[in-house]
Amino acid sequence: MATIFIIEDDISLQKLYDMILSTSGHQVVGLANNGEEGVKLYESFSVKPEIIIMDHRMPIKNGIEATKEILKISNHSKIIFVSADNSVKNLALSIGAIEFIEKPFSMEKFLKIIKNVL
Amino acid sequence: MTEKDNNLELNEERCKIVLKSISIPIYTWQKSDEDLILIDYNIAAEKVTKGRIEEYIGIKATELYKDQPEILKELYNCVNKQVDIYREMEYKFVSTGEKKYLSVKYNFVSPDLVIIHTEDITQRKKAQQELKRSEEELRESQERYRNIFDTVPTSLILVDKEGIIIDINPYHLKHLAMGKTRKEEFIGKNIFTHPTIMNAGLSEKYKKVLEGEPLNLKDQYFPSLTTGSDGYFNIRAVPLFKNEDVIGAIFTHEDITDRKNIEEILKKEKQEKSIILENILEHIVFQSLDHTVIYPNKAACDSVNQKAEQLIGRKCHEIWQGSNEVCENCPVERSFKTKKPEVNEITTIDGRVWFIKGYPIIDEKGNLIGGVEVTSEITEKKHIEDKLKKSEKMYREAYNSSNLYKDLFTHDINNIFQNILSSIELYNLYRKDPEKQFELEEIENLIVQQILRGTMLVSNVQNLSAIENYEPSLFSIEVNEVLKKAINFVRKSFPNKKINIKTESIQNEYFVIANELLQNAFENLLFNAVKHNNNEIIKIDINLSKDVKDDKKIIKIEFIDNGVGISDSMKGEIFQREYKEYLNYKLPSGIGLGLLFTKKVIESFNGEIKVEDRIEGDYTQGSNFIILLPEEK
Repeated sequence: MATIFIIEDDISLQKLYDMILSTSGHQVVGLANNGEEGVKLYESFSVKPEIIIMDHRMPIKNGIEATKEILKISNHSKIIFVSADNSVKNLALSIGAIEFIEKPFSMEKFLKIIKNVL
Repeated sequence: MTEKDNNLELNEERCKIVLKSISIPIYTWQKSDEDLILIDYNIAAEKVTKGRIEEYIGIKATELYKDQPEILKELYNCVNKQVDIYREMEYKFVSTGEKKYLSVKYNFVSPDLVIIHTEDITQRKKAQQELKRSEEELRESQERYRNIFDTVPTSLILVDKEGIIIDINPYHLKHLAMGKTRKEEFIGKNIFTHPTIMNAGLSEKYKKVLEGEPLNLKDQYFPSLTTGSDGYFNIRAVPLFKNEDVIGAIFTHEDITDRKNIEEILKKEKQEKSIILENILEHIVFQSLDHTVIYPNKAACDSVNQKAEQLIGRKCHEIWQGSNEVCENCPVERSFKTKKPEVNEITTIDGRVWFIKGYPIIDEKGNLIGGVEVTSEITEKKHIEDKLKKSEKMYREAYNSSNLYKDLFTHDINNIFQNILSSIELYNLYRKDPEKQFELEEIENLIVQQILRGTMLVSNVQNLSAIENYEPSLFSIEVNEVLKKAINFVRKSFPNKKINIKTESIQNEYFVIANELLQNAFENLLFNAVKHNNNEIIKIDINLSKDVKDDKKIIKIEFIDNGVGISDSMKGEIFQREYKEYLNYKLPSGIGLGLLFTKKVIESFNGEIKVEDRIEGDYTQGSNFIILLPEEK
């Protein structure tokens, strides 16, 4: 089971990801409403999470910008990009995201990918 | 003394008296040894020598004529050979130094005398020399006349008072003689019967010359010439008078065919150029260095409804701009400085747009002598260009809007789908677990919210499309009524949320000019205020008031919430309409399309929307969305 950090501005989805992952035995170590919050919170983690679920379209700082900054802080965490915006897939993977999941996706697919990247 | 001797002496005395009294100067020389001595002279000699001859009595010839050896020679010849000699000569009087022409006669008188008779022929000699010079001049004059007559490149005919040809020059024979080449074929014949003159119909006019009237005809056409081609001549004829009687006349025919042909060509070229200039649509104005109009073409004249003569001499800027000063940025003026063509575009007070080209005019010596202004009206072209630009802008905006709506819709709808899909999967998972009953209720609410969100999304897209494509129909609307409906919608959308909405208004009614989309705009703001709020109790204060902005009465509607707030950096972006800005998306999910719709709706009512912090300087305490709408008058 993995330690997971969720960065997603849609409060409903944030809650649903949390419920899915917790139910599946993973440990959600933090929730952030936008990229800027995500970077600050990540920086504060003494033990970096194994996986980061990263949305793209968020206020203040988007997923691409947040990913770049997080990877500068530490490359310990594997970042899974989760976005409805398929146009940023290649960019996300090129800057260091390990996977890209396009919304909408099934819970099964979501958990399988998390398992694969561990 | 005998009688004979007495008679002889008497005769000598008489002879001397005669000699003395003769009016011709006479000098008597007598041989003495090998010389001759002057021994006598008469009264006439005394006169011509002004009395000084007396001093020379007894002088030897060799002494007197030491500088005139020809006289000495004549004297000796006369006495020694005993012959008479006659000479005409220029003689310088030794006694007076005066020079005269003399006829000198040396008469030998036996046995030893030479009597010299002299006669002053100076006057006669001068007359002879004058006559000779006159004859010379006449001869030279005749030669000159002949030379001129024969070589001048103009036809010359000299006639007598009857018109009979006395002389005719070779030029005439060559060019106007209708094929006759010999002078003799014309001499003695009447000029009025000259075939060229007759063909040209000039006989009557030529007769007038012999009546004393000079003739001066220009550009006379001669239909057929010796060379076989037609020709043009300038004709001058002068009657010759003697004692006021016409004794003849001189006719000259100057061939101007080449000049005439060149003039015709130039005239034709000028006419062709004139036709072009006068028919061209561009205004063409030739002007001097101080912008005085020298030539305006027809189009230039028509542009101010005046004739060319009304424009010539006036300043260009006075005519077309009504100004005493040269126009600012005048291309002609600039071309004077740069010596190159210059252009400019101006709009006249009547709204017409003109494209002006200024050309410097430089003469053969390189001097700037003026300028040509070529002006064309481009008002229609400009309007079409503007329309095209607007059309292009509208198309691009529509294209960008289309892409933007598609992008936002796709993103939001996929998020909604994700919410619903994950909710259903979790619901199915939890419903079998008795410990998850509380979560089941939460998931059910979440699904309902997402369906409402989707409904609003679809509504926003439809309404945006309507705003983009149709001119909105506006009417009077009471704001409180609209607000009530929007508040009810939001309360129904979030039945499990504790929502405290308080409306404050001084008046009961506030009328604005809007339409039914105003309610959708309010719903979007209220929906966002509830959705992006993590507080247990969601507070929304709605304040209505009247205000004045830019001297216009407005209705101010404030939506003050205690939600998550909008950071300063985001405040400038949330109403951003440009598609390219959205590509760098930094708005909360679900807000973009709703706020964009709200902004567009408010703007279609000629209003505006802005966002501030509920508590200034701390955006985390919530937002204040302010809508300003024109009050209905």
